[in-house]
Amino acid sequence: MDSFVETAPPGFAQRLFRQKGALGSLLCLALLALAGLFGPLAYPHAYDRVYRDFVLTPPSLDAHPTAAETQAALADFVQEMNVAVMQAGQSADGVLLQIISPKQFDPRVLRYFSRADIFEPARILIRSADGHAVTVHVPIHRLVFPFGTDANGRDLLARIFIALRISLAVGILATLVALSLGVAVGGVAGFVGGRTDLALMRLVEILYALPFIFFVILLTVFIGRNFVLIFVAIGVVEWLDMARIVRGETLAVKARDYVAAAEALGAGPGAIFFRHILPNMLAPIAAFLTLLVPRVILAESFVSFLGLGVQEPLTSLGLLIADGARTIQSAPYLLIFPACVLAFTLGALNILGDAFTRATEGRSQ
Amino acid sequence: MRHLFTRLAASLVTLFVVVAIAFFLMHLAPGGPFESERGIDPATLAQLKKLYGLDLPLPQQFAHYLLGLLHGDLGPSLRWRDFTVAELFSRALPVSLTLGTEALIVALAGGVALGLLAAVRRNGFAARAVDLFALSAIAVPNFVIAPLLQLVFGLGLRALPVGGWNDGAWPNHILPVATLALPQMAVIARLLAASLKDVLASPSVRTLRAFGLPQPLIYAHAVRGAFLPVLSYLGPLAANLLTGSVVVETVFGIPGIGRYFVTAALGRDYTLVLGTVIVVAALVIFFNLIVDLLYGVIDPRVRHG
Repeated sequence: MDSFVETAPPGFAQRLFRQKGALGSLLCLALLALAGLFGPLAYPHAYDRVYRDFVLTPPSLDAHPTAAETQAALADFVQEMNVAVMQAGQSADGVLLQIISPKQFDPRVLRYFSRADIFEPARILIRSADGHAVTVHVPIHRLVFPFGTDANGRDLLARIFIALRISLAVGILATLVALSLGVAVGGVAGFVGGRTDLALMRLVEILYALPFIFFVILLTVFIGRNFVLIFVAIGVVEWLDMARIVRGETLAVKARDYVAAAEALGAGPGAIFFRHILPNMLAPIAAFLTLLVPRVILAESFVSFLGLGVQEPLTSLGLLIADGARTIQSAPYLLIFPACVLAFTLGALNILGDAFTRATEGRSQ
Repeated sequence: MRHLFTRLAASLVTLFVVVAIAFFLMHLAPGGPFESERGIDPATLAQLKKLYGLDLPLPQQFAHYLLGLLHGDLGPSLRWRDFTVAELFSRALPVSLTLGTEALIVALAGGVALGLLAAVRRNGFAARAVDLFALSAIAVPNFVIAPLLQLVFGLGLRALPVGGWNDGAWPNHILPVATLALPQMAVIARLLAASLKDVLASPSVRTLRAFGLPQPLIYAHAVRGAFLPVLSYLGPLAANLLTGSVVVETVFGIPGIGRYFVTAALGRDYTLVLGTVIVVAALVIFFNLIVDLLYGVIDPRVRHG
């Protein structure tokens, strides 16, 4: 986008930011992009880390485990390891236990704590003379799940971060694919004209008539459920509108006097297209691009919703929403948070796209 | 009339090419309709292929398929044995068509009303509300709207069935139609409002005002003048809605045509996929044709230009 603002006539940026909501949505998008880029690095939970003790934990800013959860975990420990806990005390960062076992105390019992999500490896403080009783200190691992956890016990916020990264990456890459295909086909059709134009536009019309899902499914069949190639599949489907717009713009710009002048000066077709025609239709292309990105993100979400897109444990916003829709009754937050993030992303992109379109229209008036 | 004929002929050619592309792409894709069955031995596989004519060379299969098409025969389904594609469609298509038509009507009526409201009270509260509604309906995809509607009206209020078709009982229509119609209503409202703003400021409307025409009539004229962008959007939209939405049919458990499509394509049910592609493509081409013709009706400049 930066390079575009530079090539636009002076005043474009001002015109853009005078549009209602343009600045706000740009900031919103920047924040979302930052969250996608750096969220997974800065956030303590990994997106694929499974906390078996915290399946479907509701969203809360309080640290886990709570006192009750600690008690439950200790009771579980007693039962599983067949020992008795005589007295339990609190310390600043953990619990103190006096463990009594019927036989000689086996330190392997303490492995329970290294396996559990909420405890860290226990340390033996005092061992009784007969070896049946020990006092151990078990540090508690404090966890916060601001958006709760999913049905596998994975932190939802961490998954939203990685989903944002994937969805934005798909949005940008697939849009680039659509952009290059659309500009190439539309540009050639409009610039060369005649039979070429007719043939290419007929091709676009035919591809229009084929259902979107047919393409996506077919492409996933051909290239497998490959992560990168999903970008290509969506881009290859979404270029048709771009081709039409570029063709129309090329036809309009080709008729301008300065193109005729360049031709009279002996400029070759390549020079005319790249130096005179392409730069003069950057504005409408950019305006359309800002509307294409949300469509592409939506398309990816849709494909993932059908189970054909990004595969577990990676995730995208569409996949999170699909999972959330399944548990809507027991854990509505699993739907609501990702849906809000997707709605924010799409809303901001749409507002920005509208502002872009209006700002470019302002130039031609 | 001649124009209409050439357009029709061109449409048929387009449809033919679409069928050809779909046929060859489908058959060239790795895997086949029977390969996924567990423990199938090569002899049975060959037998099955022979039964459905899949052992012939591709061009011959294509010719065979086209010949059937000319007789209106879409062939047997390869996955739903004992059913022909036509039989499957005769059950699923009416369901999708009904829902699609209802959604189209709701979207159009609501969209025009909201667009008019936004354009008439341009700076008022109503315009902002319409703007906000339109934006949220566009930004929230239908696979979010559908479960939310289920949650609120089905599970929360217990007013409407959560899903199912129930032989088309009217309460089962409401949520799917709402899911289909809401985003489209928003798009139509926005398109119409933007275009109406220009038309209401145009000399033709000023003249009507000067004649002292009553307000409703003025708006009726203005809507007609502002309808072209909506119309060009309606063509593909109608085709999309009528052929059934995969998401809506999956979420609400509706036995429409959209649901077949994904399973058929994944299972390489060649004939069923091709049948669906033909229906979808025919509808897309048909509605584009209708829209082109309606352009001339609405805007005489197109007809004589």
